[in-house]
Amino acid sequence: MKAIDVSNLNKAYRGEDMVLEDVSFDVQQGEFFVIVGPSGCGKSTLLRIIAGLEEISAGTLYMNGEEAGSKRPNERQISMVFQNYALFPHLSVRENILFGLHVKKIAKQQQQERCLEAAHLLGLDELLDRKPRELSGGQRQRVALGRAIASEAPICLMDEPLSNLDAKLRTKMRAEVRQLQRRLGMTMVYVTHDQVEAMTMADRIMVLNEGSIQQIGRPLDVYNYPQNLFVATFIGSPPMNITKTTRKGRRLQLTDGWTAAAPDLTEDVYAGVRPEHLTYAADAPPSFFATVEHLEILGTETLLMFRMNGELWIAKWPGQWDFREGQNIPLKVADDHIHFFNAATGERIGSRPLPAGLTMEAAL
Amino acid sequence: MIAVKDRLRAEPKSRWRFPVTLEGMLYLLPSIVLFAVFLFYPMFKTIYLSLFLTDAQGNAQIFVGLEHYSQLLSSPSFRASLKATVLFVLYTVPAGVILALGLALLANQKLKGIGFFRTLFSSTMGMSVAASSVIWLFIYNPAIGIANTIMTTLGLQEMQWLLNPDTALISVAIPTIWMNTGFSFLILLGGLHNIDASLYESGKIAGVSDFYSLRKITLPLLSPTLLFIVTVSLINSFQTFGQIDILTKGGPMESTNVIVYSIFKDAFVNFNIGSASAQAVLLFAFILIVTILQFKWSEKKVHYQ
Ligand SMILES: Nc1ncnc2c1ncn2[C@@H]1O[C@H](COP(=O)(O)OP(=O)(O)O)[C@@H](O)[C@H]1O
Ligand SMILES: [Mg+2]
Repeated sequence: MKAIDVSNLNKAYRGEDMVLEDVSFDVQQGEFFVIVGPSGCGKSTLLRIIAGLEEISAGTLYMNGEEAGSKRPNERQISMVFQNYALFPHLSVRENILFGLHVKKIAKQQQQERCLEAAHLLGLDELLDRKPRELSGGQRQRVALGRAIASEAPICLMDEPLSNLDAKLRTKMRAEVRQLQRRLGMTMVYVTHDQVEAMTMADRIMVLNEGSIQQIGRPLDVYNYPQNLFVATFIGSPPMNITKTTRKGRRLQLTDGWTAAAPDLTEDVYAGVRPEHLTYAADAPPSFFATVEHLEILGTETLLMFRMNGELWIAKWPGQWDFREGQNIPLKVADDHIHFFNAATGERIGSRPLPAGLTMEAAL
Repeated sequence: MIAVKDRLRAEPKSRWRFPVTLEGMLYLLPSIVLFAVFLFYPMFKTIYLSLFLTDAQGNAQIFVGLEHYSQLLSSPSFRASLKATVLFVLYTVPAGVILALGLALLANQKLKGIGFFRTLFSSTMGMSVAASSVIWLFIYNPAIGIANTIMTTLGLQEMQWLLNPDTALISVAIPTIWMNTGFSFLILLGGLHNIDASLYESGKIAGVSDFYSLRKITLPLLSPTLLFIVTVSLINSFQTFGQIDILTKGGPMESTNVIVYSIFKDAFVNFNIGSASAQAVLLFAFILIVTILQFKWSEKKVHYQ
């Protein structure tokens, strides 16, 4: 069943520019749905609309099969974790976790049980009587999660919940949040600007840019078949390498001596190659030669930078490769690893539509 | 501090160095001088004068010890003054703070044109006591004042606001509340502004009532600001002078003769500077005690973040 169903949603703050434009998507029950996009693209606005903290300008919002656009936040059966955690500084961890439960007419005894259960799940047992200021960033984060868990709302909304944590803790919490969601079977709508979070946590991701949806799909589908140039360069680190092509009869030329079969199109075409698909042509005939401009050896992998028609391209290889800067090396790209995009619209050209029938229902 | 310590460690022991306490004193000197000239000297002089009989110029003549104090404490006039002062504080402080808080809560809503009301509510801050008092003198005028016009339109009896000993103190308290509201409002609005909006949104999602939010989120988080406002209002109210001088001159029948006004009269009308000084010292002690009690009492209830 669809936990959330958004159709043709528009949002403008007080008659200003459109912040969200014609947004339509749905979230299945029990799904971990990640909304990802650069800062300022309208992610928080969308989440706050789902929460009922902002009004819809046009379009419809259904939650659990019922019209929800006009419902108050507390009637939507949601919990929300804010970026700054929204902990009450004057209340103890226990009181923070239990905040507002009295409204749902839950017996005191049961409230305490829920609190202990949530605290136990998050490893907060020892900290229940502390104030938020006596906690570390990660512990505060857990208290915020604890409130969401104790409310037992079927839908949980999270707005960049990990962005205030340091890198190590973030990796740890990523796994924790994901496991928690699975264990409790809640529906999660998770907002982030970090494409790594999106890729690693999501059942499906929705890429948003400047208020409109760029692509919705399973992380690997989005990675392997980006719908347009924006998605191609936003998802993946380092991003996909892009270059302009010139037409040479029935083929497209990417650079001197490197051509590929031309798609059936008369407009200009951009070609894109993921960094890991640029391989070193030791024996095979190379696609082209590149002059090493810069090398970053990270231990487990090596980033090799060179110029392609003036653009900076990056190749990513596992292991440690020791080239010198200025060295001319042969590179190879398999034909089916080249992505083509319409230069005018940025849309992906032809090849490989998403595998049919693989919707969330089937995947779950 | 750290810099000083580091330097001490770095330098060889044999070289002469500026004593740290002296160096610290040097930094404090400007404020010490200002405090000494404008605060400590007058304060000690006042205490000194309160122990003497003085001539008309205010020079100490005969040492009388604590006689002024014992006379004051047994004098019905001083006790009436004390009572008027306490009543005045009770009339103005709670009402003023609650009014300012209410207005600040209203003005903190995100509504169209709220900026206009914010300016309006804080506008009394920009008015001098003298100007405001004159305005209220007109308002209270028995013949042409709007106060009585309102009473008659409401079908009530006309009143002799400032001339009746029973109503005079309240009639001075009302303009005082009006004058203080602007400042209190502005500070409280700033305090409200500092409360994270996501806390209220969290409350909304949980479905708590507005009143619950006010009680459990706003008031606790505003408590440091409230404490500040209450303290300042208390002290201000104990020291009220201008509006008394313009509206009632301590009358009728000494019903508005609050301590500061009584000090003024004793010192500059009756030239009894010794007694006036003793009153000032008593007032100082009184305010000090009230403020300490207030801080003690509120220690548990104020949440500093
Ligand atoms: N309350 C508001 N009033 C007016 N404009 C807003 C408001 N909140 C956000 N915006 C604008 O809407 C756009 C999207 O903001 P937001 O949803 O916060 O982006 P994101 O969360 O993706 O960084 C931004 O251009 C921002 O300036
Ligand atoms: Mg945001």
